[in-house]
Amino acid sequence: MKRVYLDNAATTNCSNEVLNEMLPVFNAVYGNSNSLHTFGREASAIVDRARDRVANAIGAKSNEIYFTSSGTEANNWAIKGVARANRAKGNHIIVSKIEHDSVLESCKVLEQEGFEVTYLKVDQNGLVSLADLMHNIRKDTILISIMAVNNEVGTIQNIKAIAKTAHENGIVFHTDAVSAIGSVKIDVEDMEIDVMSMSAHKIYGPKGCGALYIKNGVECSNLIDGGTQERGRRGGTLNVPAIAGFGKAIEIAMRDIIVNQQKIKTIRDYFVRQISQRIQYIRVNGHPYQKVQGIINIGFEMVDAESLLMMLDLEGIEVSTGSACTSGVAQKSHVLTAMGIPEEYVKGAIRFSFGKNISKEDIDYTIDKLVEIVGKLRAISPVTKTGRAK
Amino acid sequence: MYSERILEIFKNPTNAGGLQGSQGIGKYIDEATGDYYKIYLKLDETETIIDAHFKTMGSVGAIVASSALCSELVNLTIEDAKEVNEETIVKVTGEYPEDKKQTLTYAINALKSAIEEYYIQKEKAEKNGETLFAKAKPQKEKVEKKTTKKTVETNTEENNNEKQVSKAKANFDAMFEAWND
Repeated sequence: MKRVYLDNAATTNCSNEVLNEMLPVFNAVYGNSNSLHTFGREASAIVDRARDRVANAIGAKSNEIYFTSSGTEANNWAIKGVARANRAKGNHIIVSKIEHDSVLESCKVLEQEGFEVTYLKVDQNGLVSLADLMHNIRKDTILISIMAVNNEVGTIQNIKAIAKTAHENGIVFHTDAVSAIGSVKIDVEDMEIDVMSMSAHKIYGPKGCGALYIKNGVECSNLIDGGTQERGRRGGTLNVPAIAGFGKAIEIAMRDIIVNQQKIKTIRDYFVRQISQRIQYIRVNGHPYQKVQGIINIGFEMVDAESLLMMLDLEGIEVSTGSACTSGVAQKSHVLTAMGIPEEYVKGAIRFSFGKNISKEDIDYTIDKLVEIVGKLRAISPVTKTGRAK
Repeated sequence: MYSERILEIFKNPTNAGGLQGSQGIGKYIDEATGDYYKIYLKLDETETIIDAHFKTMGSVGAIVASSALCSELVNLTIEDAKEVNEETIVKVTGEYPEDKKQTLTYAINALKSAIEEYYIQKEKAEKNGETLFAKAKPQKEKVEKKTTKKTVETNTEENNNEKQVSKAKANFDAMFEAWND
């Protein structure tokens, strides 16, 4: 059976270039990067090289990059670390309602510790309002965290303006850039970002590796104690092969960003045009133009997203109903709900996320199957286009 | 995660679609998820269910529960149908994932609603000196024909767009080739 992978926002394949970078590190250079001996120093040199590559990709200094096990860990560290380290200055945090669960759940933990959290609403396109942000800043606000690109709808936030606003009020600014790296250019210096979360497996790197950028001078307490790794700020033996892969992956992602984005835009536009012509009663969720090329979220009226996803899967087409981290759970998307998307479109919302290896044949196959399956599910749906029972 | 057996039923659900001449139509809506179940019952003079269909908008579990339920209802009397429960469905589908078990109950709720509706219609008919059973015969063929007709209509609609689609495909081919160059 033909297989088409359209869930690149959940994870990507590990590219050959990245794999080739990693393979020798599994067996030939297997030292613990924390050991003093030659094997250890060889491994440490690989980590240093990867750190340089990550730093170069985002305009940071190498000693501002800390490797983690994932983007989720990076987000946990950033939110909890900055909040706890700055508690003497205040106990108020601002995030948006459409953040990844790793940010939102970290905030819940902090609320139990006595912190106060404001969850900013977003508009129908998924954008945070700068005016709303300014309105909610208090004297005791110590941290603002707004994701650079939303993982479900692809909307790009006005990060530079938000960061400036934070700094004008003496507040630390963190951004979850897991879905942004490789899709938009990020320069932490120019964009005035203090703390930033990243992940390797969204950019053709390995799973199990992320990084947190912490600008020198920004106070952020440790999340994982019990080791001198990462200059004493994050305990645990480093996953050197994955870190080597991450370094290579982010270097390639920035090298090829323009050509990849152009190709994906062509495919995405073609896909949306075809779907709009051939399937009635759909809604494209997200910002009309301020969004990454690779993510398109479409609500299909009169069908259920899980059934649509599984029907597509049975035809070899792999998509997602939202964030892969939560899509195993039967719950409405907190992102689409926060955006005020009508219920009938939230229920049937599917995220298609395109990768750089997609072919025209794959897209044509997907379009044909989608038309067929939506028709099939609507034929057995008791709901009409007006939302009333037939 | 769904079992292969559940996915097989999902891929080829039986008894899907409306049922003309049904005497009992029941529905159930789960407000939390928006899942919508509709069950159609067709009975003969002996109050035996001669056909049962469903229309459901919901998860894989919801559609499979509805399909399996309907397949088990055929040849039961309306009294026997009152005894049908979640276990009856699971005998057909095999074990359900824990977080989808509520869909079994919702499908049964739609059946209960259909049985209630049948008795209401029956009482109305009897008051008016009428009968609900007009030469009852399985309507499966008729329904299948209707489904075919719908497909043809859809195809016609698709054909109307064919020119536009071909044009867009050609444009894309050109763009793609240009990109590859």
